[in-house]
Amino acid sequence: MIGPHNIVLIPVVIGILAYFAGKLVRPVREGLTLLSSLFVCYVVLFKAGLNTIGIYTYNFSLPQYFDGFRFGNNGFSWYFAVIIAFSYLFVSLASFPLVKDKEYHGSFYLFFNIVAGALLGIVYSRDLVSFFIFWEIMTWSSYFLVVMNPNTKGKTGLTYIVFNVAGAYAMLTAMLIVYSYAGSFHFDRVVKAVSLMTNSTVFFISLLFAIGFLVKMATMPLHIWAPDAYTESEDSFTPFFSGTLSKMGVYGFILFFGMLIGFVNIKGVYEIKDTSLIGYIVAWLGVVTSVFATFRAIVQDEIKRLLAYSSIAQVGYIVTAMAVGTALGVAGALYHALIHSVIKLLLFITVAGVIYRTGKNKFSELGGLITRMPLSYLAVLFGIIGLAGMPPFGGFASKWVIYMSLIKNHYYFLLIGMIVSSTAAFLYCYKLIYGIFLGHPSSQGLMEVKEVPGFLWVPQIVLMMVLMLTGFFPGYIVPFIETAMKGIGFSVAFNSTSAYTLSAALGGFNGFVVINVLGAIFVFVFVWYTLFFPKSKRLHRLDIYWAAETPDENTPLHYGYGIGAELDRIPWVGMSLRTHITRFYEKTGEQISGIASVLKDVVFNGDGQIYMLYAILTLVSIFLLMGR
Amino acid sequence: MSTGMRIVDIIAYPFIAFLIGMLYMGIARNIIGRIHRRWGPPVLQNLIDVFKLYRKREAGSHGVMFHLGPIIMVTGVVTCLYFIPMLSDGRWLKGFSFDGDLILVTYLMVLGALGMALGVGQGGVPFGVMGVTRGLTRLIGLEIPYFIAIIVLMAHYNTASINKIIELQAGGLSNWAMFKVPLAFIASLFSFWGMMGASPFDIPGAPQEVASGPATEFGGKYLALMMSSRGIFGFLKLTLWVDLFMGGAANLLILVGKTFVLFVTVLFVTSVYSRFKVEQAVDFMWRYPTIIGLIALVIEMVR
Repeated sequence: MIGPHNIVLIPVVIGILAYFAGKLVRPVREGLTLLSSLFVCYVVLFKAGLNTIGIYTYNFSLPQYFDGFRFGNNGFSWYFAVIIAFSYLFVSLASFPLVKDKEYHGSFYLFFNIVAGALLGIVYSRDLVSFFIFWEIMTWSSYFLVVMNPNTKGKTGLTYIVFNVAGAYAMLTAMLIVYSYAGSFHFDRVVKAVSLMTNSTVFFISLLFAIGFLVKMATMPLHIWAPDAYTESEDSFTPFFSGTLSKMGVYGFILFFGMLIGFVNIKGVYEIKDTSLIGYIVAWLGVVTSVFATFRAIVQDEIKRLLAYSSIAQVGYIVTAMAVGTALGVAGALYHALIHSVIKLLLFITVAGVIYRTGKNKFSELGGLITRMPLSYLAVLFGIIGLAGMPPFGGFASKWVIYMSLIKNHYYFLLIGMIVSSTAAFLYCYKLIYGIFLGHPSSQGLMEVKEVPGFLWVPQIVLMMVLMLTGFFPGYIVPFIETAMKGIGFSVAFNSTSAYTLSAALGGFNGFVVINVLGAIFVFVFVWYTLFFPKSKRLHRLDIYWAAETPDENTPLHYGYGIGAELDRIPWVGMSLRTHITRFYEKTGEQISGIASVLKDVVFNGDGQIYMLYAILTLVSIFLLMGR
Repeated sequence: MSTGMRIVDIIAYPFIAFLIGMLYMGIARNIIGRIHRRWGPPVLQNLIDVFKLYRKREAGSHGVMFHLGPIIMVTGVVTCLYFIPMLSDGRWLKGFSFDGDLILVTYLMVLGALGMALGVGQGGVPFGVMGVTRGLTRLIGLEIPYFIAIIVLMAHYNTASINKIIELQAGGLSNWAMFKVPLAFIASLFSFWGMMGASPFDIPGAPQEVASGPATEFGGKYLALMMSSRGIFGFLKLTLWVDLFMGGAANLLILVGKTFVLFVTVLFVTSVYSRFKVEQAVDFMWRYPTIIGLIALVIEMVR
């Protein structure tokens, strides 16, 4: 019987199988991965359904102090498992043409399948040990996917692994502290133990857990691995990396702070405005992250780097919403996690296709592709409307919930920070679509490229449909979110009962009416304009008004890609763009290596007598301690 | 209200806004003319221009998105208009305002600009893109005092529904939000002038330069559509401010009166000040109006 307790094994086994079987027949890897992802989708949807709350305990006759692995399912796990399963499916489809001719074909499918399995393991695990094991598997196998690309700089992989492993060990420390109180790793016993801890212990373990998850979500100042890793990882893995893997931080954060430690428990320690001190600080970190990352995104020339910074910024909203810890805030975080996954999958898959077809990854080298790639254009258009949070599609709904949650509990300053980032996001959204598809082609060859490969159309179209449907029925997801929230012990947060409307706190809107009004007016004007007016004269692309000069084929007309150059002249934004947290880490690194070299000179100076002294001192101290 | 009347009501909605908006633009040219000590064109000049452009047989197009750009622009603007109630009393001229709230309206206001930006992008004039970029950069500045002001409003009245905000302002001049939360109103006024394209903040359109700004490549029927949506958009913003800060309007006459007073402030500002560069505009917006708004917010939180 396949269920939450062993579904993890399917992708892992398939991954290993695909690696070796693919050595004989190469396409087996694609086939097996597709089968595995379809099967995972089937199991997650039907065999591990929303209402089967089961716990499966493995107890491999282990020593007594360890009471076995546990797996289970509830609404909250289900919500994230669905995101994982479908991103797994879409990314496998997209990777078929993109990875086909790469020399790391085998290892890509090996590690990609293992990552997908590890993610499922994380959401289904019900004890700290299996949670940590799968967390580590995820970190390491994604590390290989980051460094796999020959273009990846050595520093990228190193930064990624150092930050993530450091975060994981902070988490491990906290887990061991919890174990020393609870005597068990099982979630239900942990909850009981935490409620008996002293305030300072709770504060300390919350801090350690927060560090672990904030690294995964690339929140400032722990984000510096993210832009490089997102940009330089294999193109077909980046959608999964940015869209789904970063959501594990969200999952973990809500799981630990909502269920295990409980917002109520940390609240007792130190409190600011109805929220815990840690929650409040993290909420501000989220806002600061989103503001800085948004401005950084605007000035990028590499497409994937722009999207990487935009990911960091968007996850910043999620961090803020869930860190304030109200029911509506967590609901908004869950909603935005879903929508952001959809958008980032859509955009990164499309961009991977564009890079695959053109071989170029910079705005300055692209342009004018709208006529060559109409479907991809539409995909990016849907994506940016979602990313900017504009009304007809789902992006607005999720952002609306987050805004409402902040207004409801009077976090006005957090909200204003978020608005700065959210408004500036329009600029990078426009840059994304203009730089690739509009304007003029920056080289002749661009006018002969084909639409992205057919395997990418499936995810593109399905994801666009999802965005559109969440626009039509913003309330459709609400029951799922509410079930998920029940799984972690939050009560109902929304007022709405119908699928058409979303209503909470101070207001509400009817997405169905919005999108229909919009559609009706559009169709009316479009028909009127296209049929009842004389047909427009089709102009050549160079037939433009250009300051009384006549451009020719070689005139560089695509210089609109430089959107964002003027940001530098806005005093405060310019300052933020010139400040890099990396310098802080570099300085710290220099200082530490300086101290270390001094220590080395003093302590390990190569003198045999000194070493002998150390040995004797150690022995003496051992004897003294033993004697006690 | 019968279904037939409801349909008439809905159809009339954008046309009322269009007519009043275009008339205001004509009056604006007159008033500015007087300030400049000249006569200015006839009041109906803008309407005449639009109708003339609609009758043009020829228009050049750079592709599908170029064609769709102005259409999306007018779609966004009219949709946004439908979610702002024109009248507060009775059942007339409320559009779909019961199905939306203030945040929805705020975001819908940008949708039209996005459509135009896409059209401009395919138009291929670098100067047009320059205008769009300047517009979006300026928006970072304009939205902050505006959002602070509406946050103060939502906090003060504890609702995000525009209809409820109007209701709560009923009962005389002293209940208007502009007197209840005066600092927020002042802060929002700067954003309002900017959004109306008044002069210190009019860099995206850059009216005095020959070839820059988003409209550069558009002609004939496209320009007509853009001008119409500009007229509707102007009246939309006036109506929104009247609804939010000046107690709404019981009938069309009061609406025209209140919006006109507000409109005149725009004209006075625009004819006195010279243009900011885009970074100066953002910097200005983030300084004085934002500080005023934040003071209003702190007062509201303490209250």
